Amino acid sequence: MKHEIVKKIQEGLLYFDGAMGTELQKRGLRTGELPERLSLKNPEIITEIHKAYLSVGCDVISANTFGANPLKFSETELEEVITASINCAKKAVEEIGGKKRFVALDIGPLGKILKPFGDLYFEDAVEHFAKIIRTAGDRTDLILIETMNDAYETKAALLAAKENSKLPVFVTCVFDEKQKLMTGADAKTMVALLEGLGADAIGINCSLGPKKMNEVLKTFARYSSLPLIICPNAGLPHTENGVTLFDVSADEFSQEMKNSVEIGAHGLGGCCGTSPEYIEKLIEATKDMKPQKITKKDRTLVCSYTHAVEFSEEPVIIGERINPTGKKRVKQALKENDLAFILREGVYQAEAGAQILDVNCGLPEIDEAKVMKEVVESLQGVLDTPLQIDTGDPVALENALRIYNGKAIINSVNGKEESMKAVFPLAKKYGGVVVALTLDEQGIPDTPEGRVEIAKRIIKTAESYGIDKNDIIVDTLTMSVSTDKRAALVTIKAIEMLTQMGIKTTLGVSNISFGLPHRDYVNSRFFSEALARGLSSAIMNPHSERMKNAIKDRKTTAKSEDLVKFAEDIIEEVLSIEEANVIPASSATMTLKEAIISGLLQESESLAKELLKSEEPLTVVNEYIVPALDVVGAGFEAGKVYLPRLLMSAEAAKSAFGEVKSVLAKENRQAGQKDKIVIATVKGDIHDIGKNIVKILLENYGYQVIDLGKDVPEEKILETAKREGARLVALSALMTTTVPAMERTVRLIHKELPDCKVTVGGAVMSEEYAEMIEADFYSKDAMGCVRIAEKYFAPSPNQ
Amino acid sequence: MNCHFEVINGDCEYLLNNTSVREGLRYCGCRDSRDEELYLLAKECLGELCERITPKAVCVKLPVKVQGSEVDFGFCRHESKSLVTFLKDSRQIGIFCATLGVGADMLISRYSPILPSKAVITDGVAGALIECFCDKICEGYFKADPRERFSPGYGDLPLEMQKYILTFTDANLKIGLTLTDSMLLTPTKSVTAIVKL
Repeated sequence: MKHEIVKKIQEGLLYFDGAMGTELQKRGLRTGELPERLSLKNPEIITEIHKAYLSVGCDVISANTFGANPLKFSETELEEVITASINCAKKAVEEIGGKKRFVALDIGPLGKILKPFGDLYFEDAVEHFAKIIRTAGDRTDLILIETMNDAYETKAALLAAKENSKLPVFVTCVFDEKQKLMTGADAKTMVALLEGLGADAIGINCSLGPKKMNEVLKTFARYSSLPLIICPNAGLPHTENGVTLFDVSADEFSQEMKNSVEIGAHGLGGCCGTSPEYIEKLIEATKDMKPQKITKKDRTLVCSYTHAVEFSEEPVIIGERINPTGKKRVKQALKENDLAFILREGVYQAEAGAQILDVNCGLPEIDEAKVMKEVVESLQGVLDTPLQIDTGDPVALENALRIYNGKAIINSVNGKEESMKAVFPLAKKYGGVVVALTLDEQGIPDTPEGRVEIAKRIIKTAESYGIDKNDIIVDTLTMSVSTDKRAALVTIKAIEMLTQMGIKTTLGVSNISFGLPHRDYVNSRFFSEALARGLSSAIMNPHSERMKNAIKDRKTTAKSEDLVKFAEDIIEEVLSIEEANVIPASSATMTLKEAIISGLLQESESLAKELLKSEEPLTVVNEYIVPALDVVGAGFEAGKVYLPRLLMSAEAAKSAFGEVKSVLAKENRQAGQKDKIVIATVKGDIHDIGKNIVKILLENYGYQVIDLGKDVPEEKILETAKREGARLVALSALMTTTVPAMERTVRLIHKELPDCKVTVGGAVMSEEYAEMIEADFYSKDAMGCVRIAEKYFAPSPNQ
Repeated sequence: MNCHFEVINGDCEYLLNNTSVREGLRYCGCRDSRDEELYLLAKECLGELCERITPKAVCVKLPVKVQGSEVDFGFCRHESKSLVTFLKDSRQIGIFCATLGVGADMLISRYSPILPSKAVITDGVAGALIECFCDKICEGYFKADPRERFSPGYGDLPLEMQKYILTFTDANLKIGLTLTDSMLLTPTKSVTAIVKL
């Protein structure tokens, strides 16, 4: 059943109140004082302000609960404040009487930045919001989440509302002059995110005056199918004789708000600096206007926390490389929890032009649900490229969708009942665009019509879950042409039919060439054909120039009339090409050692590759890489080489090591790694540059480094050291305020693992401090840490 | 206390042209900045940073009372001999919170796993950038000597004062600045400071 307020805002104009904060300041609220406490101390003042707004004709008033959250109030006081605030609003409604009014539970930001850029865990944020919502219960008519300036926190609040209440939820965010939230999301992104999560009305408030806010509103109107709300400030503040004034008058405000209605706003109100006078004039100016009809926008949008990617005319490139299938190095990284390798794969693909990254962690020997969550969290910590969650495990899917800071692609659902039952409820709850595979209980149809039928059935079922057809993209399934020459025909014809029906499509292109030589060539030819028939996106290798050229040239590519002949021709063509006898260019004038010392990444990589053809992997490490590092390390210790240079050499060495690892992985051999070292930045500290420097150097010297990241609780460090049997733990802290956490960690490890030593470092550390907290070792810089490890792990003379 | 809080949006072009790249290199351990290659790399980092940062500040002027070693700001009081020494006879001060926004942190995080050297240089240059922004606030808004600023954590002025400054200036809502439980400003390239007027 649709709530009355939702019906009202969909069909007509709904008036919200104006500022509470500035009205309270007029009545003597002191700077720094929590306004919510006034609901307990001076409830008559709060009721009086509500009544002033109601008497000029407001439909919705916000209870004085904006900052009432568990980070600012104790549990008892929070309950008292929320109850008193709602009572004030309800009393005002009762006393004013007249038309139907609505009271909103007003929820503002918590005042903390979420991880990874702050210290608040996403789930803790959800729980804080949930507590507010549960405390208020159903005593209000709606939940108004407002003044949000971060996409992730907005998601936490909206998710908490959806999980803990049946009330309608309206959400408004703060956009700055550049039309972005403080953490970078633009309006299109917020539309994608908030619609995906099921908000009932969305919009903008605070920060801007009505004129500039209308510019943001235009973007909302272009992309959103929901009722839109706009609550601007009364312009910019300035002081006159010690009094803060705003530069847009009530008359100017109300005139500009007429434009808001023209653009498409259904909810109108004010924020900082507005007063009952502003709202009165706003209502007077707009009450006879007819709001724009809300139309459904047929758009397919996914987003990260900064930007959205739309599936429309331009084909979308989805990077395929974070997937262990057929990629031994990725498999190894997932098994060893080498997140750094996965992150590099992500960054390189994004730099090569991938607009979305597919993430697949499916390996039978790992806990996919756990690893998927870790990988998604890590990727979104370094990249703002939207993600495609690629898993058949519903638990892994939910873990990833829940913590994902954006609207992801879900890869995938298929026509089987069981699959749809598992995937669609998650897509509905968290939002997402779902890849629909055209197969069902009967298998994969061998006609294009058969595949289109399944697609139609999946779309229909999705609609029964409340998922729009624009949120489904169909994968008509690529099979290898080497085994069935009709494979291309069926897949491509199905793409063409779906495109004509206005349905978006995707393909895992590389499968077409399975079992054939010159796969990149085969893939790109096939890809061109699919693009010419309207393919909307491809899961592909973004490093392939041929594939990217296929996109570039797609408008001039002629369609093949006979797709079976097309496949036959390609197969004949590639089978007749002789293997190119390419001799890689080598830097004849430079040795690997010199390249590493000079910090030359690509040269080190190609020289290592060359050397590995004639030398044993371990010889390359011990006779070329490590001696080069020793030269640079000694230079650093002597003060002749600066930190950035030391790191450049370390990166060059790492790229050479990468080649060594690839050779070993191909031969199913493990690198002869030295001992394990657990490394972490301690609890409360979110700096990790220093720790990362130590890590790369330790890795260069062959140690197996288990990196737990930053802000790590002592229990987790202990548990990891115990599980991994590590004999050395390296801890970093940059702030004096986090030294106690370091001390606790040292003590805990000494108590529980007497054989494990702890070395400490970081800007705030000194020899004395280290002694005071009873650390076993201290090093002033990263090379020092390497020396400590070398000395500590060196075999004793008796061994 | 009725104070006027001014929100300032930093001018990225000004910061691009006036930030000392050599200072940034010094922050990451390069005492001798004759290394031309590193200098160019740092310049590149500055350019990338200036495309991503959203420098904002909230500023306020107010009187303080000093009694012995205690300074009363009106919204909080702190014992601090070093602050009293810094203030000398000055009883009118400026307080500001400035941040480059999360864009700088995001860029550093992006380089961390692929090119730690560039992450280190970006971090150093971002440090020089926020300094340049703070200098501009001191000179431009407060008409004060940029060297005459004092931050919580200097001398015996406790870091905890940041909490009161953030609440007083409403810096979270105005410029998106927050504090972790361990008193670390987030976004990390941020400063709170007291200016002698």
